[in-house]
Amino acid sequence: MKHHTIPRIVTKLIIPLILLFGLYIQFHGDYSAGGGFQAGVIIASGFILYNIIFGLEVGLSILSINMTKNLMAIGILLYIAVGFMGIIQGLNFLEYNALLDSSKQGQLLGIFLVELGVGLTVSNVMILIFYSFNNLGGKL
Amino acid sequence: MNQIPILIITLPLLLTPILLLIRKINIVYVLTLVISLINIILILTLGIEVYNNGNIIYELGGWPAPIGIRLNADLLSCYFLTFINVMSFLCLVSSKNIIKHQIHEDNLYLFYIAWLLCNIGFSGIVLTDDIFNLFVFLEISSLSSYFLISQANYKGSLLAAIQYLFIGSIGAVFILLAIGILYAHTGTLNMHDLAMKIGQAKFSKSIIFSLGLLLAGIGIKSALFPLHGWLIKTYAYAPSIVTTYFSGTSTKIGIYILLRVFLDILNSISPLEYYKLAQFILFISLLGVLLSTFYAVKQQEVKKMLAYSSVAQLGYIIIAIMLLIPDGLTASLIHVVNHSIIKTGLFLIIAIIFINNQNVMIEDLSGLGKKYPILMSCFVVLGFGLIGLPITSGFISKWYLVTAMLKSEYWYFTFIVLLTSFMTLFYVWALIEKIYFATNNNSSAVNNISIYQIFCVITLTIMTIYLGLETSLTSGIAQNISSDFYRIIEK
Repeated sequence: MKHHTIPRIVTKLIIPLILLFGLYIQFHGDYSAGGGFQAGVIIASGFILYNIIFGLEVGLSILSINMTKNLMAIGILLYIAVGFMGIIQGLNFLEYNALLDSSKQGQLLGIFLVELGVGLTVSNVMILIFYSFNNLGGKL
Repeated sequence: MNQIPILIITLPLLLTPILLLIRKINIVYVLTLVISLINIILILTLGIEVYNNGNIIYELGGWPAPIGIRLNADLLSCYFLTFINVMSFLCLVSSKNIIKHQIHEDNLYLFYIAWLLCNIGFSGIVLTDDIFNLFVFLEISSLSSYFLISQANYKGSLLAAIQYLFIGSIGAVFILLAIGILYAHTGTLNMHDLAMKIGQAKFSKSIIFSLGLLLAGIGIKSALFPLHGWLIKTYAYAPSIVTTYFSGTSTKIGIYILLRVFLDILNSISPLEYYKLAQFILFISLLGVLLSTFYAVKQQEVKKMLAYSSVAQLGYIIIAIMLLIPDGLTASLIHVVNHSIIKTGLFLIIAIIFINNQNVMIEDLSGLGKKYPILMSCFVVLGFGLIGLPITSGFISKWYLVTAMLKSEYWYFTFIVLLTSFMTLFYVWALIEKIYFATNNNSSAVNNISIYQIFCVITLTIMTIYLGLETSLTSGIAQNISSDFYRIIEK
């Protein structure tokens, strides 16, 4: 895509906006429309757009396939770890009150971490799907 | 103690991302086995607790019922949980040598992760008290089972997985749409709440529509007769250990959803009596039992023969439920467990002996009686269980089925059940004849069979004989469950 100036410039302009919008959806999921799932897809779409325009090699040097798999796993682990915090303190699974002393702050922190885990997993799954469309996933 | 229901689901779920980070097949295998064993111990403790003190309800996040999501472990859940997890464990123990020959080695760790996820899905379906979560867990188990099926390096595996994906997705969408309609009518997704509110809701055509959708969706999942096509293909083309695992669990989950939805959640509107639905399913299943037994007799391929026989046996289970009397439900619950054990054992022996073959023809079994005396005597015992000869558990389930039918208004169908049982003898005998009385020996059967695999087969055989002699375990619990169900219905 080296000779296509317009797509390159527009992509450079638009990717920060996509990522910013993704982060907005991520952090406002707990009291407005959105959440980790939608944000993950939006952020992944920004990354995929970058890959399409500037080539897979650049993308892979930022985020290798093994790295996507690891981040995928870490996202789920974050979710379950928050859930288990409740069980460790003798409360129920996913009881956010266990996270902090103040139950309101605990609820806020809990939903934030859970959504973060979901976002991390979903965006990396999307990127991995994109990689495997390019035969890079190989034997997934 | 009160955390056990959630631990059964979340401990394997906690392990899966860790396994994805480890990626060393040996460690993955050992950890999978350990977590399955821990799960079985947890389930047995839960089962004993529930049997003595009644059902345990677990509120996720500490939110109370209609708003929050609950898990509900009652006797029916524990009954299904126990045998599903035991089957999963036995298959996992004997899977090591088998899948090395059938699956690409880079994918082995993913195979075990998908297996765990599939089992989490099954456990979740059985434990949840939220009808939408039931759908979610159904999707978890289905998606991972598509992966499991597609992994074999046989020619038709991918095609079989894709076909199952399409059919399974259609079934899942039907169930989702039906849940949506029920939600629109009652405004709740909690099963207990729904069971109460559905009786007060105005009965309209859309509820009937949702009943039809539910029946079609569950029918696909449990391989109800005209919707059983995917099962034959899947069983023939999946990696043989996956076939073994699914033969004992996957369709039984369909039966569980059928029981839970039609006899528990919706029973205040008695859905099975509308348009004589129960009678309709009964006739169709009888036809299914007859036809699939015919097909099984005709088959030359052992896996397909056993798959058709599975369809026939599932037909018996559904017939027993559709009699709509307590004895029928008891018979179906007994047969669910007994058939699961017998069919898993038969498929397991085939999977152990024929590692490299995709198509195991009847001729391939010739002369194996001398080569593998222990395995083959187990095969014969399990085969007798399939027919329903005395001292095997198959006899007990046939006995309860026939007694239940004689007590019901459809006593004249007993004839067909007995006829098909007799026909089972033909195809089982065709196998036994080849095993013991044919002389030509072929080389496609392998020699290195590990002691663990033989241990698993013998465990299943002993279970079959034990449940045939000591019936209080299955029939006692089954009678408890069915009397519970029908007490609810009479109220």
